[in-house]
Amino acid sequence: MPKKTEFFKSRFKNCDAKKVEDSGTTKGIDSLEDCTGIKDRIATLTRALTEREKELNCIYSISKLTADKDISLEDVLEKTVNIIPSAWQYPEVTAARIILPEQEIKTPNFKETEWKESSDIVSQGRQIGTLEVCYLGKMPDSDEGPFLKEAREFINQIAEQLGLVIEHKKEMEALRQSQRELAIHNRIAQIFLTVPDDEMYGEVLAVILEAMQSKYGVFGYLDEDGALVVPSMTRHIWDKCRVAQKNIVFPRETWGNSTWPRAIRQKTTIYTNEPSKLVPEGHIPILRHISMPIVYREEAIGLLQVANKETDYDEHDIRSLQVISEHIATILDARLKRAIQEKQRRKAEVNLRNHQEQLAELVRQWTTQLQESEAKYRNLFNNAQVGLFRFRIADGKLLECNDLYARLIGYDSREECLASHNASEHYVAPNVRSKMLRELQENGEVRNFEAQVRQRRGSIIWVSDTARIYPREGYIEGAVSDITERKKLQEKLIASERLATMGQFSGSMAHELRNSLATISSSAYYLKSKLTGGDEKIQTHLERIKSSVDGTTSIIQSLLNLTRMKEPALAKLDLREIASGVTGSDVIPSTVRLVRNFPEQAVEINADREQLRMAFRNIVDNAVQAMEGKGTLTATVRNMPDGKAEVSFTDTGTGIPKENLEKIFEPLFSTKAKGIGFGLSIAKMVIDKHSGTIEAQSELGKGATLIIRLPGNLNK
Amino acid sequence: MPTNKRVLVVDDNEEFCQNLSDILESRGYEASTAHDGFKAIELVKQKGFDLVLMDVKMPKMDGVETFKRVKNISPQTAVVMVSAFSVDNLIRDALREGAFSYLRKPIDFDRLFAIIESAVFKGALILVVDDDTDLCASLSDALSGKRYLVCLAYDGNTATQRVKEKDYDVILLDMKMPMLNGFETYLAVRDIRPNAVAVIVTGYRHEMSGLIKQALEHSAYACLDKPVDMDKLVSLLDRIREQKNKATK
Repeated sequence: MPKKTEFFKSRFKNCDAKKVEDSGTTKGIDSLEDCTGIKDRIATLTRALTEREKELNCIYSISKLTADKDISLEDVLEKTVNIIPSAWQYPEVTAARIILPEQEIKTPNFKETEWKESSDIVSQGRQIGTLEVCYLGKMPDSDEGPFLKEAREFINQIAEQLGLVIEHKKEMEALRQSQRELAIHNRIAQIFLTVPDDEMYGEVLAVILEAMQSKYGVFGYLDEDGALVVPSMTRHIWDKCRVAQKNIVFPRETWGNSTWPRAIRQKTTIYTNEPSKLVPEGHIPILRHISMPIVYREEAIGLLQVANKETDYDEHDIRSLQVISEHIATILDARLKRAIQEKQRRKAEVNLRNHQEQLAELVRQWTTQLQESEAKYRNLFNNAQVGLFRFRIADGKLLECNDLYARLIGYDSREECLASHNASEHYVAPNVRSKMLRELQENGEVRNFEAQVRQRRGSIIWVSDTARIYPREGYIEGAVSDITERKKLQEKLIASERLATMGQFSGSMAHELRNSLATISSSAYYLKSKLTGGDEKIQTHLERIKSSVDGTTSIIQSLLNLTRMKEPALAKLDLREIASGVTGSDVIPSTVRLVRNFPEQAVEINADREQLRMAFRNIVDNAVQAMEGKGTLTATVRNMPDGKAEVSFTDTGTGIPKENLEKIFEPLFSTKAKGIGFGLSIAKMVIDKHSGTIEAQSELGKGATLIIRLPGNLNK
Repeated sequence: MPTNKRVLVVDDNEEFCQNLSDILESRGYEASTAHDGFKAIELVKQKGFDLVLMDVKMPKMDGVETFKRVKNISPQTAVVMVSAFSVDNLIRDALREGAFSYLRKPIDFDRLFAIIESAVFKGALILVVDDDTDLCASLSDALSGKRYLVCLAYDGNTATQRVKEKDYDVILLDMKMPMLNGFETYLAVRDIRPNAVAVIVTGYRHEMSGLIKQALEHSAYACLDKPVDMDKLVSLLDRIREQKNKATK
């Protein structure tokens, strides 16, 4: 044990041992007196040696204590304080005390006396306590007073030793504490790392509760809106809690003023060992608790609560929880931020996806709209009620057209038309296309350009072109409509205008002619009355003059009837009455047999009596003439099932050749030698003006039937 | 044979005018001519005529205007309008104003003389309108003589046509007829001759009372029951004639 030897050496360096050695070696034993003196000295020395031995044992025991790792500092101090007296000369009256901050360890018999020796306990160069040794009574006077010089040194030695022990033990304690904290931190960090969801809060809370020896607790965070979210509650408190409304999210406005909201708001830890009164009904009873905000960079980001430890919470607990809280703060902050980012990212992703979907939907819609509008325009183009075309300027080739155009030109299909139609062979007149092109080049467009066009199979129709030229593209585009009907109507109109002009003209002509005829006829009448009984031939000539005048007069009347026909003055009539009026015995020669097929009931029409009479008269006259005065005339009147009224006149004359069936209504058409053929024209004009129809049916050699159909009286 | 009846022919066509004059003279009438309206009026004032044949279309003053003035000067003179032209409205006007009849050129001379004879007849001109032909015939027989000249029409349409041809003093009108009934005929007649005097003759006074009432309200002169009491009829006709003569004189 070299250390011990060293220790002893140092211990005895200043004592008489040196002297002993000196005398023993240099002087030796000279006499008895000397022997007696020696004996005394030996006794003294032996005593001293015994004392030193006691001291040694004491030191040894203390050092042995300190070497024991498992023994706590308190035990070390306790044991040390009880060992110390044994090292003294009179251990039974010796007491010891160790004074440390917040701690005092002493022998059971300790009391303060005047015989006291003390030494500072120093750790790391700082006084941390005091070691005191007292004699309980006055000791037998020794040469040096109650405390030997050695004893004083010995106390110092022990104090020094204690300082070392305390320091060591404290370090050990701190190490253990930090190891414990580290373990907690590690567990917490581990949980944070491995538990991705809100289960984490519960698990962390479990660790904290264990570390804090508490039964209940809360670990929550503040969300973006500042509400307290306590996921840890779900598992650990739920089943015990009787609060009706179990919510893990506490919006800020619902917080109230109990300890935890205050702790969060003020960012300070609040703890109490008094039972809480502010808990909701049904809440587990809180006997004592700590509410500690989790603060990161001076922001409260969460809350830790622990409650119902078996013993009261103290500053030590606060510190422990504080360490945990600070540890949690950084990782919770990171996690919350990550969660927020994650949330934002997810939101952004959702937004992005929504946008993409919207965009896709828009594209779909646009595409559909485009297709629809394209189809619509294609439809419009194809189904337009005018012919649409596009011709190449250079050679007149048809580049595009719609169905109507193809039909207009006489093709069955667009495709056929596109394949073979060419504008240069289009027009009837030779120079029409060049005229149109010239106009297009001058004005850029033509409007209602009217021309006759040859259809595919040779029929000629009138068309009206409206077109625009596109010189850069090299084509003309436009619309064409069939105006053949209009042209026909126009011609009809022109004809009727011509007739009207003729009417005016014929009116004054008729007047002059009639005046002349009146003179002629009156002269003839006079001569005839004066030349009675004279030459028979003179009478014949005079008769001839008279009948020629009559013939001329009737021609003039017919002409007037035709050219000056007024609009019919419609009145409700019975067709039977008119038909019977024109087939009276004054009209029909007795040589013609008359058959009337009239119904019992009236055949009502709206018509102009005089005009209708005139029309029928002309038809009847015509029939009688066709029969050359002999045969049967049949007049039939009936109501048609479609509401029209029909009258027909059938003769048994020579009949009308098929090719003339329509021509007989044309003015001046006549197969007769006599008369100029206005009669049926007048009849047709009257019927036309009454919106009726007239047609002729005939079998050559067997006679003819003229059938007139008139609109019935709708108001009957 | 009528003698010394004075006829004035008014026409701007001098040749025709002269021809008519010659023809009338050859028939025993005393004929004068005028080639315009003013001259015609002058002659009417000087001489007075039984009948005027008046051309409608004349320069300066047309025939209708001239006729009106002539009628004003000499109400008892019968005026027959003559036209080469179908100026229906002018003729309608003239008839409504009391022209006796009208003729178209060239002239139908048979019709001309028939018209002249009735126009210058001194008795009463009577038109009998009835679909009962026997009744028509017996009335005609009973009335024809010095004092009455009777014409017949068997239906309304014919009656209207007849009324255009002559200015009858009295129209005896049956109420119950096919097609146009008596009242409708009466209205058509009044349209042509507003001053026509109609006497309604009916065998169905009760059945036809509505129509009769209407006709009387529209100035029909009287209503006689069938069978017709001839004495009553004659006295009625005489009374009408008297009133008419008073009016024209």
